[in-house]
Amino acid sequence: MSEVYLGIDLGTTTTLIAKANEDEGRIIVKVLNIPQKDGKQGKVNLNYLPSVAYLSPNGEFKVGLEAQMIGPEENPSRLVRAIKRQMGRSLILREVNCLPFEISALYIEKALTEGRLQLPMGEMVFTVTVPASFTSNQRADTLLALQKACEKAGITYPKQDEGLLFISEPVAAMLAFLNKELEHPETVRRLDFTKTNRVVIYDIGGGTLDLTMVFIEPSKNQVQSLADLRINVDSIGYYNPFGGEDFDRVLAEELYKRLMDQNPDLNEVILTPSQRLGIRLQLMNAAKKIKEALSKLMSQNDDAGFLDDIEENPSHYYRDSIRIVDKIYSLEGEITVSQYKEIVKDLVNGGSRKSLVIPLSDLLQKNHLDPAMLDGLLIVGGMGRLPLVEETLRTYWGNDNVWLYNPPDHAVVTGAAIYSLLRRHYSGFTLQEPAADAYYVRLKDRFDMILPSKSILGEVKEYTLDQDADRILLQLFAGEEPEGSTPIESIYHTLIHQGGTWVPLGKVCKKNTPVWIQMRYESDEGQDHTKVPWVYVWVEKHSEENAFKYRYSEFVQEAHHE
Amino acid sequence: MNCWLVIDLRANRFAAAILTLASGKTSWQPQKVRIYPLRDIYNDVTETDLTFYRQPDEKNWIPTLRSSIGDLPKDFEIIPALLDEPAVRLQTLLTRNFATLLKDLLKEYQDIPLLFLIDRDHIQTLLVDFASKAHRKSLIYLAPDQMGDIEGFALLDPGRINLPTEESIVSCVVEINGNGVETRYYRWSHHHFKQVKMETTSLSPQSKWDSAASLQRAGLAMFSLVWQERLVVPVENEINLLEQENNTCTQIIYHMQRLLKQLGQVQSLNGI
Repeated sequence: MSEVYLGIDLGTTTTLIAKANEDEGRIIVKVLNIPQKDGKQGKVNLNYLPSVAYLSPNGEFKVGLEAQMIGPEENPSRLVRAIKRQMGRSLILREVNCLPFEISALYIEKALTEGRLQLPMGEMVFTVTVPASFTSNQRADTLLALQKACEKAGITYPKQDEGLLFISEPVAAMLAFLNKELEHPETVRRLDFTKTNRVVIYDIGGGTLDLTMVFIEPSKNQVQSLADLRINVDSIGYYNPFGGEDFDRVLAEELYKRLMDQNPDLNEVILTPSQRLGIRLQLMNAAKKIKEALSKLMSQNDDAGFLDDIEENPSHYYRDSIRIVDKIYSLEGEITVSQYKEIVKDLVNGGSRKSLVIPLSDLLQKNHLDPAMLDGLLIVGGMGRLPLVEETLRTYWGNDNVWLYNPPDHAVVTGAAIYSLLRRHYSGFTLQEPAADAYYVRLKDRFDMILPSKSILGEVKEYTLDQDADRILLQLFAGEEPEGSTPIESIYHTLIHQGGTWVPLGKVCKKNTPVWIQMRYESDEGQDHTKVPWVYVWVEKHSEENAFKYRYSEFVQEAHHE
Repeated sequence: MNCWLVIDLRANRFAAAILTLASGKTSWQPQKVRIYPLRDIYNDVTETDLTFYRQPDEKNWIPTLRSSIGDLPKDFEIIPALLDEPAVRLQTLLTRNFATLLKDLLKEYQDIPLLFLIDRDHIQTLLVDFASKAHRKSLIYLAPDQMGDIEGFALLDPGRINLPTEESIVSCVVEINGNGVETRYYRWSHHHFKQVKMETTSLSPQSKWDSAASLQRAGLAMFSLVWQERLVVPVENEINLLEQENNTCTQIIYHMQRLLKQLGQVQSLNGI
């Protein structure tokens, strides 16, 4: 049976699907169309699916453009967006009565179903992308979403491939970039494949800023294809839920102020929480459109050679309508590029992690590096289209080796499809990627590290019960690793709760009974890119037979259940 | 090895690709541009109409699809087909709108020359002007009306100096939008390709193409850059040969006609 190689980019704001083919040693990727209803009577072919779901009054979920168009007006409280930011959390989205992974499953299902219609028959080999900085419970949730989507789309879930189903978004983007580089003549290339290159990938999408530093080494004298390269992930930035949605949020706040100024009568209207949410969503949509329009105006410097009438501070006149309690209000006004820059200035050059430069400088600082010591910075992700992003990063980087993948929002899905093909066709291809975080178990009065980030096999740690018990509550956390002799307490603030479950002991065990815990990735080859580890627990006696064994995905499922 | 940014403007449409010519290996990479098939809804495509709109009070034009313009608000200004605009307007509009469509590609592929494929003569000077503003070397190729099935040229190795041998066949696999793939065969005969149907063949297809349009575009680009020049001498030689043959035939006909005339005279004498 022939194979079809697919990549799926499950993004915060958009979901994409692509397929890869090999032709005389070249890998050719095509981002597939996802036909969608436009919310009126028509259909439109887009090569992405807005990651938006809407539960319609008849109990049926609508996804993508249709949900985006009708949800904010019909019943905004039943509209779900940016669900990726909730992955790994044990919460039920009340209005739609779903867990976050169930919503993500809808997007994957739609992408797979539409993709399948456009592809020749064959075994589907697919890879799904996740942020490099996703912790294990976020990854486990993504696995659950994938399983559910396969089930609903009538596609066999590739259980035997589970360890290879994921690839980190920045690494996927790097594969896409390298594939493009290899297509070009050497005179046009940005990288020199006769030596090792060290590059930072700056992936800024709708909801996550994901940073990864990689080494790219030639494994042959003459590099002719991706299989002749070794890619080793050197360092991963922290999980950072920051992206285009944040830029839209601050602009939506400004639009709200303007709306209230223009319509003072609105101050008298008493709104329910659901109505407030509806206004917020409509304003977010309007903000997104304004951002797109301003992006075009900001990039006019690139037009400078072509046009004689470049304005110094161009402005955009926006016209939209906002529905508030069955009445339509006009949202109309002008916004200049410099006004916009002022509105988003904290997100651009602010001093917090939720800004463009700080996370990058943190990553370099953590590795004792500066831009001059690196071969380049690759910008990918939809937010890369906002010229402010490239402009700010170029200023920080201080040299010309800053590259924007074109189109920036296709890099990740392209790389995922390439990876599906590589992992089946080139057994020699190596991609080494450590987990972003170390893992900790919670004890009565402290935390103890049970799996360091660069390890695939944690030590078997021994603890004792502090009281008589017939079950123990196992709680796991993920976070940074203390550097050198720094006390473990210094990283407590970075720890994120991954979930917890009660481990039954089968009988009442006395105080001081020994309990051993180990966390490990089951693949010994270091290629378990899902980064969803197993947790082993032994009580009284430490041997393989009497272990309680939990995969993170099951673990999180139990946590959801609780 | 040389590289071109190919921009196809035929039929009032727009498509761009990077063509890399190398011995034994030609690479054709279609490039994406962002358009707005619905108001405020974007899409990244490899081929689009030269259709634009703008809302009142805006200077910038937004690329869209011709089929979408009916859905736009009445007060929006529309350019249904850019290259049909009157000459006086076209100069400004072409520069501004090509800058919108192409600036990301020009930034990504710095120093790569441009090859414009066109089907209307009058835009040549405007394109020269655009290329000079983009500080690029450029070539403009006015596509011929009839050149056989020109896509066959995309399947030839540009590193091979000689033309294909007479009656030889080249083949490739082409994706048919949403309907799988088909294998295509092209026969070289009398200096042009013709697509032929073959039921069974021992030929294994040489390359894969994402669409028939890409194949046709690449064939035209390869023809303009490589093969038209190589065809000049053999075609001239063949014309000379045919002319010589023609001359010989003319002489033979003349002699035969004279002979026939003489034969006629003999018949008439016999009749007396």
